[in-house]
Amino acid sequence: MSSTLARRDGLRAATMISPAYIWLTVAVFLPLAAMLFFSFLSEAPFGDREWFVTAANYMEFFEKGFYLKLLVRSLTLGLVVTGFCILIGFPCAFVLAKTIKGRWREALFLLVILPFWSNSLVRIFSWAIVLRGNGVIDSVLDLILPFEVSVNLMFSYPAIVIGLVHSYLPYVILTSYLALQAIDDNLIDAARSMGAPRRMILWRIIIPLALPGLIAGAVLIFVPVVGSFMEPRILGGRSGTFFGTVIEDQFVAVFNWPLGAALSFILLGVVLLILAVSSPVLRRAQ
Amino acid sequence: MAGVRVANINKHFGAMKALDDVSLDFADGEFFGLLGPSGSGKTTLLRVIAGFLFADSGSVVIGDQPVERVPVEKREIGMVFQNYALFPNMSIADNVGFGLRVRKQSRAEIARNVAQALELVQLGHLGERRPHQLSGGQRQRVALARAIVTQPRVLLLDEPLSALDKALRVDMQIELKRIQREVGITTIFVTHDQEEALTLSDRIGILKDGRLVQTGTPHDMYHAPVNEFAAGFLGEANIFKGAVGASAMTLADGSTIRWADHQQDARPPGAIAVRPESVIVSAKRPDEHPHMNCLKASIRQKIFAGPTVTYLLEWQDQPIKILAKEGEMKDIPDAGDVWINWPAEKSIAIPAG
Repeated sequence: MSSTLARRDGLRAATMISPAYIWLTVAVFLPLAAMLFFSFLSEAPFGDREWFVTAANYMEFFEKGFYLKLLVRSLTLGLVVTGFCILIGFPCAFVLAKTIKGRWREALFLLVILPFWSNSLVRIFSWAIVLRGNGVIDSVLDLILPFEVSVNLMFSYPAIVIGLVHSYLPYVILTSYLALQAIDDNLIDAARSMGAPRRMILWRIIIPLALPGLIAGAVLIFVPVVGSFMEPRILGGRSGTFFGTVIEDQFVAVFNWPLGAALSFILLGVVLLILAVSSPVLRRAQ
Repeated sequence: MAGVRVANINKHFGAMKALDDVSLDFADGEFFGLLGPSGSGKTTLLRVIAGFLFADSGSVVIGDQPVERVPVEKREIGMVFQNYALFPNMSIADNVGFGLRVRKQSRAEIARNVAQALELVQLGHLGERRPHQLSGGQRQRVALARAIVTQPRVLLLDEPLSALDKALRVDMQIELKRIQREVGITTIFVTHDQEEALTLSDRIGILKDGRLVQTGTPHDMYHAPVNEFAAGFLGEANIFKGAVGASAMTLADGSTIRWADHQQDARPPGAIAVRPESVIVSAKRPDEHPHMNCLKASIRQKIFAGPTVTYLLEWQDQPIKILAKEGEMKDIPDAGDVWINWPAEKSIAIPAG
């Protein structure tokens, strides 16, 4: 009796969960599996080209120092962009969550998420207009300053960082805002009543309690930035070669899908490895 | 340790007047209860004394030091919050030691003082726990230990017991009083619970709409309220109004009630209040007696609560509440007309106007 009941419960549970698993299979697992398969081929299996299974694509990464150097460059870019996003975003989130009340908060919040509503390509090209020589920044500085200046940030590392920080800033603001808003104002009052200066309250109470949100935001930024290719390509020009752009080239320009797939999986592996290594530290922080 | 003196405090929030010319002296070592309904300004007054808020005008003096312009960080106060406000990211010992770390005490000093404070609240063994592992009553004690470990000049409590269930609350009241006596610190606490205020306080101040209505010892406040609000807010009261004569009040139904001569102000009273426990119910009309007041009322409801019985009656469309010990009044019908009577000296003469 109880076993039939258990079986019926199991069946019901399976029915309820299955849409999620079917979705996961179709949307995540199948494409990933296809890519994994591609990454072990000698040629993209289109038309009647000959192909065989090989690990050569992975070997190429390790044989040419060029790829490793690019990977390090991409990871560094990820750290720099994440760092700037936290430096700018956390104070913004703090002001939003703790200082501003009522309708002003809603208005400012709208401004924060506004970039999400515009197309990312449009966003990047508008940055190009701002940053290039004779562009918006250059012209405005020329108007203000008495001497001739020429600012041309276009096609440089700073341009890439500016574009990426602008694109990903809302993530860290949103996650930090949620974490900060959950902090009871009485905790801050209690610390003040004990005589704690502002800096001590920030470092001992606010940042430790907001850390989960800060970390969630950092991960949300770091992972896509390491694999980014659009901002480096458009804003970086010749200095915009990163791991992400090389992968994109393999798929779009060189048409070497197996190598592109292999590089993608190496990137995925490295990112997962970084998150796994840092997870004990992050968990203790929470 | 020090006394606190606030004088002529005014505080507005926009157009709302939260405190209206409030002046109060808190004696050194006194346990003072600020009592009032919500919106009466009691928490605002506490936050002005703490230094979280600055008054629009008026003075705040702690000890001999005027502190109107001193921010909370520099006032050397201890405060316990309604929800305890323990830091969830720190252990109990670190919570209690936080204020000592601010004061740059050495590690050994901090450890010793924290242990002492936790011992005082009888939680010496829980220093390594986290706040979420503690019960409500234990958290309350930790918050108290944290507030007094820095040896502040004043201890401020914002509805300290309202988050506890009733049985625990009574225990904590006794505990709170013991600790306050032991430390001897001037303590000001805010509550909307009149029973709590009566039990804990050396003196009580009642606030209403930002004004101080009355201050005094619990006994004085209970037996000689200055107006109807004070009579009804601190304890319960049946209020009677009518035409006031030289020594008696004639009510709407023609009956007269008296008050004891010794209570009489120079002016005649504006109303007569009677505490529910002062009134006796009888089924038959008692004999006339010059010192007894007697009214005819009808019983609406009888509420049995173990040691006490509450009778809800109606006299001239006015609800009357009577509280009796169980078994004290016999032969009272569950409904119908009865006589309620009380001795004249139990009438509380409330000053007019």
